[in-house]
Amino acid sequence: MRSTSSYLRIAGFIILAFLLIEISIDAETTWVFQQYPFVWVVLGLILIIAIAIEASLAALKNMVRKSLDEQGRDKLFQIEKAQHQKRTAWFRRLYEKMVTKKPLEKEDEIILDHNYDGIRELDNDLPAWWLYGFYISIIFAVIYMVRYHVFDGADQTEEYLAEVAKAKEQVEAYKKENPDLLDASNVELLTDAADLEAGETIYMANCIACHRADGGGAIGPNLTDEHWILGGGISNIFHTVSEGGRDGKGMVAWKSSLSAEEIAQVASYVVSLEGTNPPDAKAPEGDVWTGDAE
Amino acid sequence: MQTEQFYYDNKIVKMFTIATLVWGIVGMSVGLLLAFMFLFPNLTDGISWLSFGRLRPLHTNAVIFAFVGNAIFAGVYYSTQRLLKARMWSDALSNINFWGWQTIIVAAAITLPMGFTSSKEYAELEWPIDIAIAIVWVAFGVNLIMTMIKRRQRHLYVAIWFYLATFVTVAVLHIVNNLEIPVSAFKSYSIFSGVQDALVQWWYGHNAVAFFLTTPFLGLMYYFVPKAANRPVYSYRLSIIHFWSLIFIYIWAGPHHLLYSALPDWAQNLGVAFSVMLLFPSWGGMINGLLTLRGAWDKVRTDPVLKFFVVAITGYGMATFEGPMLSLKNVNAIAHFSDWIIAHVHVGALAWNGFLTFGMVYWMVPRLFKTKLYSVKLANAHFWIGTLGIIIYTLPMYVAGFVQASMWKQFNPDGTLTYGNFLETVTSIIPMYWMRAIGGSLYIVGAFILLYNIVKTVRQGSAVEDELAEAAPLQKVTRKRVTGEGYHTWLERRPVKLTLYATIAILIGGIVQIIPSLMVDEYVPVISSVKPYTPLELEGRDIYIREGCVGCHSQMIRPFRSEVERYGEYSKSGEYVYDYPFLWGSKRTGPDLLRVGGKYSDNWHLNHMYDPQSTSSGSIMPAYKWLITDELDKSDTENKMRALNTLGVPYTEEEIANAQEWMLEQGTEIEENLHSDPDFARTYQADKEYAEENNTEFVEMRNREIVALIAYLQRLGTDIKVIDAQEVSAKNE
Repeated sequence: MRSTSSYLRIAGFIILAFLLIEISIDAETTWVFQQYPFVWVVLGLILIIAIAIEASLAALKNMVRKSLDEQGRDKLFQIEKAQHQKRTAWFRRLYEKMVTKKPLEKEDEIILDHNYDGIRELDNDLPAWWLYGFYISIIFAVIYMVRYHVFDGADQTEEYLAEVAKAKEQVEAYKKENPDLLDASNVELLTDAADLEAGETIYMANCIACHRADGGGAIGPNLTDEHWILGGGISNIFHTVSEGGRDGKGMVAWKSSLSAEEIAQVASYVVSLEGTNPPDAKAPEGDVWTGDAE
Repeated sequence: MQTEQFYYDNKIVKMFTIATLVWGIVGMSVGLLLAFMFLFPNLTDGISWLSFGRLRPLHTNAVIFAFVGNAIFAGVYYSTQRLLKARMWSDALSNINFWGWQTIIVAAAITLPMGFTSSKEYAELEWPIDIAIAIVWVAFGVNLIMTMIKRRQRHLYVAIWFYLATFVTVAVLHIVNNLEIPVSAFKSYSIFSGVQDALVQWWYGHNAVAFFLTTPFLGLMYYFVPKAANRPVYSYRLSIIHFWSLIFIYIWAGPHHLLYSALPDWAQNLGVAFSVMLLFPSWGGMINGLLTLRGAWDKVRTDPVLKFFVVAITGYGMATFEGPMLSLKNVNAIAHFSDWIIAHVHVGALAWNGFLTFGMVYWMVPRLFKTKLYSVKLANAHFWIGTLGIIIYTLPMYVAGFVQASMWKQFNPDGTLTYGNFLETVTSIIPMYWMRAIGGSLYIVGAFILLYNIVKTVRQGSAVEDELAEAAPLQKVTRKRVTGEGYHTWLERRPVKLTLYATIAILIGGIVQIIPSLMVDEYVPVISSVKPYTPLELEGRDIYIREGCVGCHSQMIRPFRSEVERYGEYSKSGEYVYDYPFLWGSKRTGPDLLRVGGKYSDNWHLNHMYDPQSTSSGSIMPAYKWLITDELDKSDTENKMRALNTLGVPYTEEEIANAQEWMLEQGTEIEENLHSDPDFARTYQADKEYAEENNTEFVEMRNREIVALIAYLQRLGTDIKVIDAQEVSAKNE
């Protein structure tokens, strides 16, 4: 063995086996191999058998060749070559048919009597691959239109709804598997110096454009007083940062820019700003927050 | 048979060639400046007429209509005379064509930076210039057709068919897409709105590529490639088939620029189907060009002209393969709005149009001046630098497009976007923008080498302005000679019929796609909550148009989970009914803005326009400081409303009469909102006092441009926001 064609045969054989298994066995998930990992073992066995067949065939050929004298070997070689040519003849014929053109030497047979400022024209056939390619593209176009406008191929709204439904399912499954995900309902105030430092970094990178570096407020409200428009306390602040503030006035939602952990850190940092009394702070807005007690 | 003597008009060719080189370098330089603005957004800080949004259309127009346009005229005037064995019919029309076209270009170069734009891509020029273009174009066409009628060559060569199709189609496209209702000398509104406007625009835009950048260049290829290679054209039959299939199919493919948009599905799918069918007709031209070089490949190794042609035709083949692929909806879903498209068009522009032009100039100029090219070595150097430039430009842009589009679509398992902040997707491709600027620089260096070489060549030669030629006049064809003549051969003797048939071929697709959108009432389902813009919002929208915001920001949310999550509910066709013109955009250098209304506070917008990096660190948006200081011109508001009223926007007489008051009211409201930022209140007060002390004029914030722009931005996409429905109706009462 060890010839390119033997490797190709093995690879082809495995791919074929893979597809056959995939098609013939019913599976709930998308891939049979995902649902029944045991099938991998079957595929492995098939691989070993394929290699064994190739190896024994090669050995057999080798034995035959060794048993022959020089003349016999030559003859065998000729026979094999002829067989090979016969097998690939159709492909060569097709290839030649697809790209055939008049040889340069015979050009005068097909030159037209056109002469435009010295430019002559040949009357070569349309290249066959070009012509058939054109036909195929026309067939494709017809099938395309029929599929979507005669039969009920999905339009873009249906595609969208299916995409969203599938994503929703996946997200719900993920949340079910990970019940401890951090959100506004279970977030707790972080007091570790490391967390607050991380919170400060996030604050400086994202928040100071509207709330000022010292939290005194500018476009956005003052974060250092005890007044809160959308409620104070770690849970409310987490929610506001995550989901955004009042439409058209307040801030944007940060949940897609910051992770839940990061939001908890920056919210805790904001809580720590209360009472820092920076100079020139913005006047209080919203109600005095009296704590999480109802 | 007596031969006649006559003279080819070489002077007009020479003039167009010079114009090609000059405008080529101008157009490319503007492009390079823009490329550097991606890296240094505030390169032209505070100079409104050098801002990105205003220069982008200048770049595209200069390259398409000034560089490529003049190259077309140079090549057409050179080859047509020789292919028809006749001088151009009228020297006066030739000169009107030349001077008219240059005047239009100068007018474009002045008005676009001033912000006079209709905002429709490649058709930005305002209505007086549109009319001038139509007149000059018709002068060109009449000259072309009359020369055909007075020709001395019996049959029309394939190059001439392509020139004819170019003339007819560009005329039709230009006129229909620029139907607009003037408000003042440099302001007009498209007569189409929203979905219809988008459809007409991309029917135009796509076919501007087809019939301005492709068919005339195929004609040039059919003349200059066989001439330079001294080889016969590969297949006459292929010429016929690919010519007719190309012009017939091309015109249908426009909607592939609007896939997954609010355009009805059937129009989108027609665009897809015809784009796929377009591949082989396009490749017919490539095959005929490349195979004409069969037997001349040894010359390609030494002759820079042929080298340029080979890369040009190869680039054409690549771009026209990519086009149909990009038209498949699943590929388009990734590539659209990204830099992938920028790469795609630059393969077409830099390789196909640029290199074919360069090859043509290197071939033509020595012949016009009866000399040899000054330096073949320099031409070879130009070839290699230019080729390298194309590669360094396009490859990184493909990567940038693919990377950014993938980031736009990526989700975390908990259902949030992985790159929720749009800026992250921008900063990650900055290295690619650097590469692009380097590649573009190389390409321009090449163009300068060309210019030097040509100047030297011209200096050593002597111009022959009227070149003597001889040919026999046309005789009456005897019946005997035409028996057994093929149908197409018959047609090739009849310029008027050929023109007519080509016109019919290009009209069909447009009619089938566009007429229903104008006639069928259900084409755009009505959404009752969608209302016309208030006068202040309308003025803000016109500022948005003037500043070219649409060059970087789309207003079209496609129905994908990733876009709905990032921007909000996907676009509905009924939302755009009052958008004259539509502003869907074709590129997202920045985020989509359709639903930006209500997302940020008024103060945020003010700070963002004044200094984008202050609110969005790392942003590559330039500052728009003049909007914050300049007074809003309200003198045309009533005229604008009246113009829109005639187009079908239901402004009442009372609303028009109260427009000024209405604007003041809404402006004051925004001014009050702005005061919620103490910083703003302080500086504003200080400015006011300073003006009073120094007795300078002070414009109240409520009367400034920024307030109108904020009004418009805060309105965007809110008409169908369900959560806000109550609040909105409460505000309107």
